[in-house]
Amino acid sequence: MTRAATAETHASTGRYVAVWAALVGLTLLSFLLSRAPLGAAELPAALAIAAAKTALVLLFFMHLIEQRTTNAVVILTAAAYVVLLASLTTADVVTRRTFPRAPTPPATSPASR
Amino acid sequence: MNAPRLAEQFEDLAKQGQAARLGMWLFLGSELLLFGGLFALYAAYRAMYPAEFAEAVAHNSVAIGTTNTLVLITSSLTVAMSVGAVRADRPRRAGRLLALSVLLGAVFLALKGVEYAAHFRDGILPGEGYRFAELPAAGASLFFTLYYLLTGLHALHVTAGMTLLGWLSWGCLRGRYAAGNDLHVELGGLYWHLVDIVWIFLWPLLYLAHP
Amino acid sequence: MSTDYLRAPRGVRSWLLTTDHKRIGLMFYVVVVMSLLLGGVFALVIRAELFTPGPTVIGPDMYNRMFTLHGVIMVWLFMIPSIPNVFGNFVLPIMLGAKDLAFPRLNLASFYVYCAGALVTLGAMIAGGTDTGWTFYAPFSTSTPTAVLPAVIGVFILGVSSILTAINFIVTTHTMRARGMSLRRVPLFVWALYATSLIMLLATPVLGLTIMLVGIDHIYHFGVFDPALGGDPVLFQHLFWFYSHPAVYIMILPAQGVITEVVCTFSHKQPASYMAIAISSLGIATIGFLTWGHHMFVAGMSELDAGVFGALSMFVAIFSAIKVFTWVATMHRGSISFNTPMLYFFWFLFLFVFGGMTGVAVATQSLDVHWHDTYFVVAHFHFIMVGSTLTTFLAAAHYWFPKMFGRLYSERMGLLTSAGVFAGFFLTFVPQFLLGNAGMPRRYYTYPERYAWLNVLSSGGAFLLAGALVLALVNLLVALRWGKLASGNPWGSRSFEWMTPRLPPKENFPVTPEIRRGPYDYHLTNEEARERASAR
Repeated sequence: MTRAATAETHASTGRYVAVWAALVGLTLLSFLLSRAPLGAAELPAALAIAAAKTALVLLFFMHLIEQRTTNAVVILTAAAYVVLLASLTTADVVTRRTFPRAPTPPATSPASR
Repeated sequence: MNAPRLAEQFEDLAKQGQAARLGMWLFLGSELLLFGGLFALYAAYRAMYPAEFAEAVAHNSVAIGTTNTLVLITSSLTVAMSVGAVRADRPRRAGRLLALSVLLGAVFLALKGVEYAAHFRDGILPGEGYRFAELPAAGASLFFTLYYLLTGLHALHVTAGMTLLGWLSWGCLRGRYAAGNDLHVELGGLYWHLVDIVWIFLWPLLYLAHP
Repeated sequence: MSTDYLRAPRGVRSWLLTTDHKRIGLMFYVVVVMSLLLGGVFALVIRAELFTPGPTVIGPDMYNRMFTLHGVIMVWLFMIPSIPNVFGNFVLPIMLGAKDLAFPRLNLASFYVYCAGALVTLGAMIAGGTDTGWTFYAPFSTSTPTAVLPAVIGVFILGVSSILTAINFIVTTHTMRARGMSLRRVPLFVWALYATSLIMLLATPVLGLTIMLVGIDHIYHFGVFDPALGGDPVLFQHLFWFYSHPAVYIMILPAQGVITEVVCTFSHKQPASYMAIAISSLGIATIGFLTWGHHMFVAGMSELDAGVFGALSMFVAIFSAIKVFTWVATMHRGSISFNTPMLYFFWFLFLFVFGGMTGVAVATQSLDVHWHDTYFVVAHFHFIMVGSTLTTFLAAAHYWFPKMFGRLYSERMGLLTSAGVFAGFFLTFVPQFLLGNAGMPRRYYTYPERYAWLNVLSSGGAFLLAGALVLALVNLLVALRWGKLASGNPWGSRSFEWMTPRLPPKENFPVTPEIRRGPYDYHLTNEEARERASAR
């Protein structure tokens, strides 16, 4: 096997391991933050870290950083539409005034019957 | 070394590769939307039953969940390294790395099996089978129903991914892929990374709660 | 020795295993038209039943299954795949100067996946069908003891076929354009198909997930939408309409693309504004995703969401309006040829504007409270689906007939059947606006005596429409065998796909062309084209 090929393997491996370490670190950070009393900020913080981890996987493991912008636009668009669906659906639940937010009378699970 | 075959409709191999890559990203986009519906349901129901969801999340084993997160992240590393190996003309190394990724996938599924078994013992089944007296509220049973749907759909994708990686591993070990002919491995890797990304979001939603 | 795509290669196997986009388009043609006829039969059963206020030909339970099957078959087996998979498949690569789509084998797969989905859906029909309506609303759909599971599995499989087509079209548009064909030089039908594919790709997976959640409840009660288990049926509607509203744009965008081509060809003019139509296609695809809640104004959605969706719904109509004005402006000072496709365009213009405006009307919350779930809505969406999309499917069938089959149809019969289709349509659906406004609900088996005369008119119209439609198709079938041989460009069109020989060969272009002029400039000489290109 050529020396150039070995060198190339080492360079890319080094980069991948660095990204892996960052992902593990972010996972640890997320775990620690979940133990902290953040209150309402807990969920956005967790999702923000998840988004950062996703960006690392997309850019480096999936090589988006080397590819044409079109490919990135595809994923960003899909993600945007997921956010759209989740937002307006949740907004419905949260802003109900005339209609009840949850089933009324309150539903019980089969465990309590 | 076998070079990729130029299909009749393409001008050159570069175009063919570009097209295949874009096609795969589009498919991954559609997979994101498939999970997106379940994520939207989770978000809406969490807004509907915030307290019950928090309690139910706390009941999940954060140890298993976090271990699984690290397992999948590591499997993403080995898959990325395998693509690098093929590009560096080391298909046998790539094949071994892919096999390791499949193994990690199996570890993930095994841990999920342990988790599911513990839930079943507790009487935590989805929907109408729910019998967990410790968390009797409807919001809790709804959380676990969504938990099963989300992780179940995810596990289906893990299984599909493992099959795909296994097939690619076999191909690498038999020398079918090499530098300049790494597209299939790259595309298969993309699918696995998506499976990892979905879990990256599932983990905080299903396991991380303020105790 | 002929080398056109119909005759070479020969043999049944060469068709069933073909990767030629033109042949795949024809195979879709056959199954899509069969689906149209089947869905049409169910429509006739419905209208026959509604001929009298009381029971007429079937019982109430069968009636529910009839309108469900009519909807499912028309929406998923005809409307969604028709123009893209028949005419899009045939024409898109040629319009781009390509030899085929980016993934020809995937194209063939999308055909067989469609067939599989169709068979499973028909299996559901044979198993007695279901009575949920094509909208499968929970919790009825999860509890009704009818063939819901096979029906949703069939629809899921059809969705997969959609997604495969979408991926193919998007990648082809990005990577297979001939040299010199920038995105500003692609024909406007390509933009329409591209926008359609974006919607197919992003919306269909959500439908797949949602109907599977309904289906699996028939095996084990997960009850995600069951209030008894804490679930919310309105959330089903959110997920369902997130797909199904953009789906109506999947149905209309390709039709708008065809209309642009027809108007330009038969007015012998360039489009009045290329950018207006291209941008509007993308605009509809984008804004169309933001409006789904207008189907849920009376479902129990929050007031804020209703307001948001109502406001956003007003915007999507702007793009369609821009297109209508552009088409009319294109005709201005054009040299109009009065052929069958152009006649269909005139019906389209009237019916689409009327249907679109009634769409804006029902998207107005305060009005929708009165019209929701009445025949007003039924009339509105049939004005678009039948009056606009089916009309355009027929326009496309006549327009590209010479290119696909190398023959001309009888123009007199074409014009006559076109008029018959319009007359039948008008008689069927205009009374329904009046019925709905007077209060007759949709999906009802019986109605009060005072609604009878409008229902009789509507039912009579339905049979007239069916007859005219069948005659229109017979006219084309006759022309397949006995039509006069056509030249390569019998309409004198200025568009690129008409520059191919009378019947294109399998690879469309022996040598990949180099494009040096705009998409509607192919009537110019080389010098004129060069001048125009350098003037821009």
